[in-house]
Amino acid sequence: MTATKSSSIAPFLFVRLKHYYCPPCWLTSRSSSTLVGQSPSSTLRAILSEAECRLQSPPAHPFVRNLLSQDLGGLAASLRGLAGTKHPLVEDAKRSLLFSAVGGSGGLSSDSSASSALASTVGQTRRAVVLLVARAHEELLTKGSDLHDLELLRRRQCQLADIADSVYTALSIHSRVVPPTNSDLAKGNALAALAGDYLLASASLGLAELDRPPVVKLISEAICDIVAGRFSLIANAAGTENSLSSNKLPDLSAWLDYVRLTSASLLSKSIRSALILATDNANYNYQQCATSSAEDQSIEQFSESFAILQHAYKEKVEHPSIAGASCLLKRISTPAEINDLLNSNADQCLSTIDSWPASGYCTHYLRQIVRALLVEQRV
Amino acid sequence: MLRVCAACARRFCFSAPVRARVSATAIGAQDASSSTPPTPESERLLSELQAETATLAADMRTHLTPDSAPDKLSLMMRHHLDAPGKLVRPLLVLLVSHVCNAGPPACQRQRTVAIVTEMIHSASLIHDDLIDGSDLRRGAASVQSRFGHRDAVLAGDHMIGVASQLLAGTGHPLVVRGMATAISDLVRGELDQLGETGDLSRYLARTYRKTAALLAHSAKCAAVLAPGSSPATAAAAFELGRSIGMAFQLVDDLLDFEASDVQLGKPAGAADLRRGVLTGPVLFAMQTCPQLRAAVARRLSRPGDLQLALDSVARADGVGQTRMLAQLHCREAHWQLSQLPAVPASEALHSLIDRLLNRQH
Repeated sequence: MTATKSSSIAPFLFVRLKHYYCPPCWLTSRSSSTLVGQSPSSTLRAILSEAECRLQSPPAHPFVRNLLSQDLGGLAASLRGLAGTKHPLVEDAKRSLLFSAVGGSGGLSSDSSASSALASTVGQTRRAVVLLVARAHEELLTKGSDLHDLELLRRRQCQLADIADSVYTALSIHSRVVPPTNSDLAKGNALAALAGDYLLASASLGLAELDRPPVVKLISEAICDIVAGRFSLIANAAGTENSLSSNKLPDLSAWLDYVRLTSASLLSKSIRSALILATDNANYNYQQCATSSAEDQSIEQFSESFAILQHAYKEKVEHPSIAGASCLLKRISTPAEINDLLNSNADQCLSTIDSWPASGYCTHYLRQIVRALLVEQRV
Repeated sequence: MLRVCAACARRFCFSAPVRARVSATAIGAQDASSSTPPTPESERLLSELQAETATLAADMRTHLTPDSAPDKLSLMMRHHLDAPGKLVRPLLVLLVSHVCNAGPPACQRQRTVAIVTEMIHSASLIHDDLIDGSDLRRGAASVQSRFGHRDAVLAGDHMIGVASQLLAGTGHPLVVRGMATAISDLVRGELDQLGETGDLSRYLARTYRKTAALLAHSAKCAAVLAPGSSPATAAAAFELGRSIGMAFQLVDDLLDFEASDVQLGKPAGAADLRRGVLTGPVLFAMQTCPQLRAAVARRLSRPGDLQLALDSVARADGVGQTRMLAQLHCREAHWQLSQLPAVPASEALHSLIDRLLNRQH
């Protein structure tokens, strides 16, 4: 349907700023009021599910499921042995896919379905964004490619998205290592180290099998950025209750640096890697990873803004694992500052999306996701 | 009688089960010389390359402590790198590069492989010390004992991240894939230890993954990057690295029973056995000692079990059998090296293989 045809019905309803929408798209994006009153996570998840359906991508293959495979029986049994201990890995396991495949075992999966949904939304969002941006640029980068090549490309981009998720999960597991004040915690730390190492090694192998060294370089840089972020004041402030007294709270710029290193870097490099996969061996500027092109900069800006929205959402919605550590952003900024931050970054995301090749449903869903993250956390 | 090795699937001739009187010989290794006297030229080359490994270690430090890294991370890197290791792995990569280049020294990409090999090894040491609860490494405090578990884990991740970046910089997909496989094998080897069963073939498979795989893949990468390399050369380099790695770890395991803390730079005195890790000497002894098998099954939990284990190993000459197996792998290494171009570096490598076998620490 065209805007002209739709405008004969109610012209003022179908125009938003300088863009025109067909009625179905406009109806789903017209107002944040349609989202009020709905469960936050279910709205975002509905949008993500719809986007994945349109992308027709293979289902996500979390490397973490392999941790529980028969081949690694020793690790699975040892992880189950942590049940009843106070190690943070046990709490994380309840909120992640780590034990969802195991089922009820020693109480580890109690109430896991709701909490695992929350935790997996972050990974699902990143995957969806990477694939949507890649698909938005697909026609530009793959001129003349046949259907078989396109299917192969999309499969490889999905593998890349899975690898990025594996990297993030691995480093998240590693960040759950705590001071070993007793033997249970020491054992939990050893298992956390092993589990994270396994995921990182799987990701390394997966990256190597893509046969594109520039992609390996980008994701490796993201690994180093996430590690650097984990050493930041923010990461240490979330470690213990004692660090959360007002005179030790970090400022907003430290929070932004933390988000840039631990979230934005992986997102931007995953997107750039997906676009590299789309290029052939001909001369195209995405092959040159050493210098930033204008496209790279727009991806960096988008990723940074999106990561801020996503991290604020994660802080607000995720169950706190350490008492008092929930929503650090609310503790270091006023409500007005937070709203300004969210609005400005949402606008940045939307304007960057508008600068990309118009590709119908891809940019539409990207806007949907940004708006869902914005609406669900306004204070 | 021909048998297939359960660990590496190679065929070999066995006249008896693996016991003290084993007379196994690897096919093709019968005529390999394992006692090549070092020539002055090979000694000179070995000294030069050992000096070059010090330069590689300095380059590694530069890569791991960029200005952008957090201060604490750089401090941890310097602490770990300040304790000098033997730098055997980069030395082997440099030697294999010389051999596969048919004389000329290692190119920049081969040197990068040498640096990455040592980086991956260092990362594995940091994580292993955390997993094993070791407070000592190379005569100094381990990273986890000085800086804490959480930061130690992240330090290892940083090393892997930097190593992967350097590998990508070589621009050679086979090199990236080979070293990624080595990392994967390393982790799988550590995971194998969780399901300790006391089986000799599983121990050999674990030894391959934990030690030999890294050397095998790095040697193969050095061969792949050599001018005019062929699949045969790469395969021979892989087997050479694998055999050296197997021998190296077997000697390491038997030294655990013999050497003191000072010599090794890490806790010794059957430290592996005390941690519940079963290595060659114990596994060989278990084949002939039912009491030891029972003690191992109950995880040496009864008083006197540890002494029983040590006495059983001594009676069955578990150390001697392990040394014999190491000698077999060294002979295999010599033979594989003889399949590569014969250059002065080959003599140096023959000499180094013998030194690794006969080392006391």
